[in-house]
Amino acid sequence: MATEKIGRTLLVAAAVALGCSAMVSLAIQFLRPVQDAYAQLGRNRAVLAAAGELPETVSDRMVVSRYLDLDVRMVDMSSQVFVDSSPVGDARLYDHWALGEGSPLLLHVSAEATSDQPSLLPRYVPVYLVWEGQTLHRLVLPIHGQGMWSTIYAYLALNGDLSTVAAMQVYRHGETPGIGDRIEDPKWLSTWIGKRVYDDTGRSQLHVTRGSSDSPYRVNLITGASVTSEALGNIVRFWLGPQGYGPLLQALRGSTLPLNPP
Amino acid sequence: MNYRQYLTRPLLDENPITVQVLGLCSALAVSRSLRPALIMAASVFCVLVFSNLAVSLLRGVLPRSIRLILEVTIIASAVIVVDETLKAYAPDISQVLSVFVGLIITNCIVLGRAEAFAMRHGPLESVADAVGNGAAYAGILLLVAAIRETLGSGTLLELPILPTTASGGWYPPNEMMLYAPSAFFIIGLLIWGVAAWRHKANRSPHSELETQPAHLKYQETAG
Ligand SMILES: Cc1cc2nc3c(=O)[nH]c(=O)nc-3n(C[C@H](O)[C@H](O)[C@H](O)COP(=O)(O)O)c2cc1C
Repeated sequence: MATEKIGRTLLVAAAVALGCSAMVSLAIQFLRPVQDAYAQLGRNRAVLAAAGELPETVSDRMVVSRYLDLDVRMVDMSSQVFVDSSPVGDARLYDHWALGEGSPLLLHVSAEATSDQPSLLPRYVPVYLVWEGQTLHRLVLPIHGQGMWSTIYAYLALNGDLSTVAAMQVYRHGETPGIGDRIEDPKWLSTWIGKRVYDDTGRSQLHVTRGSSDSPYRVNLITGASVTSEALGNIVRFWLGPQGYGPLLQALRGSTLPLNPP
Repeated sequence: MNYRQYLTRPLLDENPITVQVLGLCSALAVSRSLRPALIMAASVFCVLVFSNLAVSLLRGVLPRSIRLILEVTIIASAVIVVDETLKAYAPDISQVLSVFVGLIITNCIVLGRAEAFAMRHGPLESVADAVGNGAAYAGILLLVAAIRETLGSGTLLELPILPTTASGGWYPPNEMMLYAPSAFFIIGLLIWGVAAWRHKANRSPHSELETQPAHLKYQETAG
């Protein structure tokens, strides 16, 4: 009698667990495409905001059409030049942050930089150019790296001089709500505007540090969220450095790499 | 009791928040403005109806020794489905509600109704009970949220109601309303009001038949 009861208990437990997991998987299967579409929309919005092309009120449809109008170039991170064609297809739709582990499109970089920076970079990265007539107005660069608990994804926009910050836009992260998520605060992000990212010798020098925001190379950290905000500074420094966009930007600034409006 | 009583009793006499003092945590956390509160109320409502129905249908086969675990499994699955649905169709509000949707799993109203009611009643009665309790929770949450948004931001569903001084009007927004403790005060006043009203009603000749106040029955599950 007792064994039969245990058998029945296990059976009911298994059946309920199976039924519940089937329900959850079905729902997620069904909802994933909608969630992905919203994620894509959010990414478009973040790029446009960094590009300075996002009006206050704008419909979802407008966001997509404005995003598709941007001048997108694909950067090959192994040679750090623009490439016209890449194996990943349309640069406007490519999400280099969605690559899975072990993807052949990931590139090993030497771990000479500080250890908390990515040692695997996407081989192809889309960057966005905003033109004003024939002159470059802004260059929007996707950046990512380790925060306190999570990977932080952001867009850094440089002015046409390719050495001062035009805008900083945090796109996605998993930092603590109410603490680390203050890096999204528009007021704090606006303190990045105008900061210089390279010193006179061309080294990537922007730091997020405590209490010295007068310097053109310093952004004041967020008290209480110092780890996350400093991490964002490290991420920017890494991506503008020799293993990130540094050589590309140097070539563009020195006009050794021609750059023309589309 | 008939179905109508299952539906209406939770609204005032056995209100899960003001009388049984259940499900307070989320009522405090997500009542800062009306729009997220609406979504939260709808989420709790759906989870409550689903869990009451499922538990009631399975009440004959659920082994008593593990029934609580299975009830929580059912509730948790419903909460995940609701959470994913919000992430797909209301991503902005889903971000505002953040962990509080997931925390519906620990909302005592849901497990309380499954355990105290659905385990002992048929599916139709259980659904009626869930609808009543869901509506009661929603009513209090929306009332608190409406008060907090009006006094704290001068708006309702983001539409201006009171002209704030910041926009050149006469109303200086009460910033305390934007913080969680204000929900304590409002709910406290509501509990006091309902208790005073019940006290008065109980002394009227019509309700002398009622011997034991209904809320004493499940009070040990409060949380
Ligand atoms: C549960 C918990 C979560 C935290 N999350 C973060 C976070 O996401 N980002 C962050 O920078 N600090 C976070 N902190 C705070 C850090 O531990 C640290 O106290 C803070 O960054 C120090 O800031 P200060 O140097 O300005 O005092 C968290 C702390 C706790 C207890």
